[in-house]
Amino acid sequence: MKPTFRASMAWLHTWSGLVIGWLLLAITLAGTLSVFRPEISSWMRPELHGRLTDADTATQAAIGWLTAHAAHAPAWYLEAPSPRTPFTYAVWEDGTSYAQHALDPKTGAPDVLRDTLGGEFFFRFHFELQLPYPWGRLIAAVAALALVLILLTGIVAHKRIFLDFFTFRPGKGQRSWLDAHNLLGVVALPFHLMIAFTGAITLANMIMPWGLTTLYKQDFSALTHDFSPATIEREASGKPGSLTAFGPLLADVRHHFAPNGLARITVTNPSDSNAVITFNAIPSVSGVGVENHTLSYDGITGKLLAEHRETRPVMGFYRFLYGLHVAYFAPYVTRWLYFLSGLSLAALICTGLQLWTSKRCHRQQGLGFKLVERLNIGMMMGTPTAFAGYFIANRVLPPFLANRAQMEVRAVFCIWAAILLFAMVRRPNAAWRETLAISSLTCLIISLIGGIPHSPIEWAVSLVSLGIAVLMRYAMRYTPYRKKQS
Amino acid sequence: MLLPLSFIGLLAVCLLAAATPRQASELFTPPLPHKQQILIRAFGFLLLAASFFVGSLSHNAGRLLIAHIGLLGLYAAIISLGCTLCLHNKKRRDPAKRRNNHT
Amino acid sequence: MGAPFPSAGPVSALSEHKTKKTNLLTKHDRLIIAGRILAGVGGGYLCASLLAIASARLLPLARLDATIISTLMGLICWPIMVMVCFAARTAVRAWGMVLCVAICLASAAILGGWRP
Repeated sequence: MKPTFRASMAWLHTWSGLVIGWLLLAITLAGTLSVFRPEISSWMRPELHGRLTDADTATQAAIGWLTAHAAHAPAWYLEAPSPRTPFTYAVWEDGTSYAQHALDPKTGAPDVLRDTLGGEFFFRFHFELQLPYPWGRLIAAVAALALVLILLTGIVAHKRIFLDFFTFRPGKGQRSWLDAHNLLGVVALPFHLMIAFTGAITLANMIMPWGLTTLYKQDFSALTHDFSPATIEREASGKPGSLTAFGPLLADVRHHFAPNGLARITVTNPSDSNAVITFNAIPSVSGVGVENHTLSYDGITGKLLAEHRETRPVMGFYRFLYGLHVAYFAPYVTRWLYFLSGLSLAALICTGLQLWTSKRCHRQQGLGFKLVERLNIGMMMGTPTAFAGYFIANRVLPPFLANRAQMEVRAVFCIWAAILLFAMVRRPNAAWRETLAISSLTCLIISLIGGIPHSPIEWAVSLVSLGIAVLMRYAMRYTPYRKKQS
Repeated sequence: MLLPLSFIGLLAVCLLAAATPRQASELFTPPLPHKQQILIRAFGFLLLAASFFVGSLSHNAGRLLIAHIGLLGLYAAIISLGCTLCLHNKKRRDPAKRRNNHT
Repeated sequence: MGAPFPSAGPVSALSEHKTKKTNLLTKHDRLIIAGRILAGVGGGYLCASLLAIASARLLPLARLDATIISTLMGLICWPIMVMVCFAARTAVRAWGMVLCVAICLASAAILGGWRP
């Protein structure tokens, strides 16, 4: 037999998919959930109920609290309140580590709301994998490019793309897995390709910095200036200063940004006479790209120092690609489509992994096969269960525990490890059923934990988790390995 | 704007699904003739192209087309599950026919 | 997937003696696969980086624009180079292609004023 182009691409598709599939599954699921990052953050802070104020009041409260309690941090990074997130989310350097808290809209203090990362956990995990700085991002970037490779080779390996477009034949073992794999891959193919490649672009400076280094050498301030010309870099003078009143500043910013809203506020050297306040607009109401309008003010006098509105075509293209990935632009319909497409990508990865084992379960089974089939079950069920466990931990842990946010995150990894271990020691057919039962139960608990939902967000969380629980319960009817395990 | 566009898209996907060789021969009794298949498929593609063209004329083309592409994928997934269901029912109703089809 | 040996596309020509039941690869096969992986991942990355550098140097654009475009090109280049390496008939040929591309790109970059 002569190895054809298609056969070699199929081989590459199979093996690169197997090697990186588990990681991609975790990244994909976290990314899918972070489509609804602000909503999840709100769901995870039930204390917000009845504490809502208008955005500018909440921002001023946050600035007031930070001025009193974090004045000596080198910079504050604030995500301004918006209709989707009714509170300010602030990150600042606190000694050697970063403090990140949601600030209460009324008082600006973090201790009114429970200490949790909320949707931020999924967002961060999506590209940092809970690993120290360069490594998580590096691995995520390589995984994104590997996904591009897997998709491209998959397209080549898949012969009859249009014949199989509307075909799904259930109950036929491996054939059905392949059908499902093809179907999921093909119907959302534009999304899969787009999300994989733009994902790599968001982390491009991690893996492909060579174009940048050859043109900019070590001149980072020139880069910063080219990249966002309204950024003002001023060294701290050492002389103390107090920030200007935010009320008029915010009114001025809104005037400049109209009709777009305010997305982010950065205050550098907040207690210094060289303080600078930078505002970023949310993407325009009609475009797709990420923030394209920046204003910098002198922190003490409140004078406008620089304004930049992005009009450069290449930069616009880059921001368009970036915006496609993060989907900040997306109105509700599109956001749900992103969510569904993300789920279909996760399902695509799962069916692909399952295909690998179901193709080989009739052959001689070595240690490698056994490891893969068990890891498959562990990762496929462990990831959703662990993420679901995060939601439950948020409600179950006492609201004002010390180090609560870390404990929630630790709960995720404990559940994950437990399920992986369980899948390792149990017979695969039994592990399939039992881990699915656990996952299904965990999702069911989420939908019931809050009692009767009050807000649209609570309704959505309950219904989605209920739907997933039902699907998993349904998947329990299936036995993945027909043949008796030898 | 999205609503009319997505209707055109839905219609196009339905036509394409009906004219896909496998569905055309298994879903319909008697099977759709080859010529009709080609005609329907051509019309489906035409509608699809038209919907993209109309979408790209809108002042908010980028966002509209992204949502449109997403919806098309959703329709395709739903329709393929629908086809599965139809075929399943049909086979159950007429087991003799099923044997014939397979021989 | 029409290939009867879906698990052994590029190596199957070299291991005709293999029966359908066993999925074991000979030492030689392993070496060849490792060579291809190295060519694809390492050599592919080398080519992608050189493409990024060469195009950053040679594109007649503003500095930032050239950076962005060259980075995008480098990112696309890597997966494609991996595919090329696995599509090549033999591992040696894959390495040959990688080296050819790398030398061409490196010389273009050096002509453009890049010094390693």
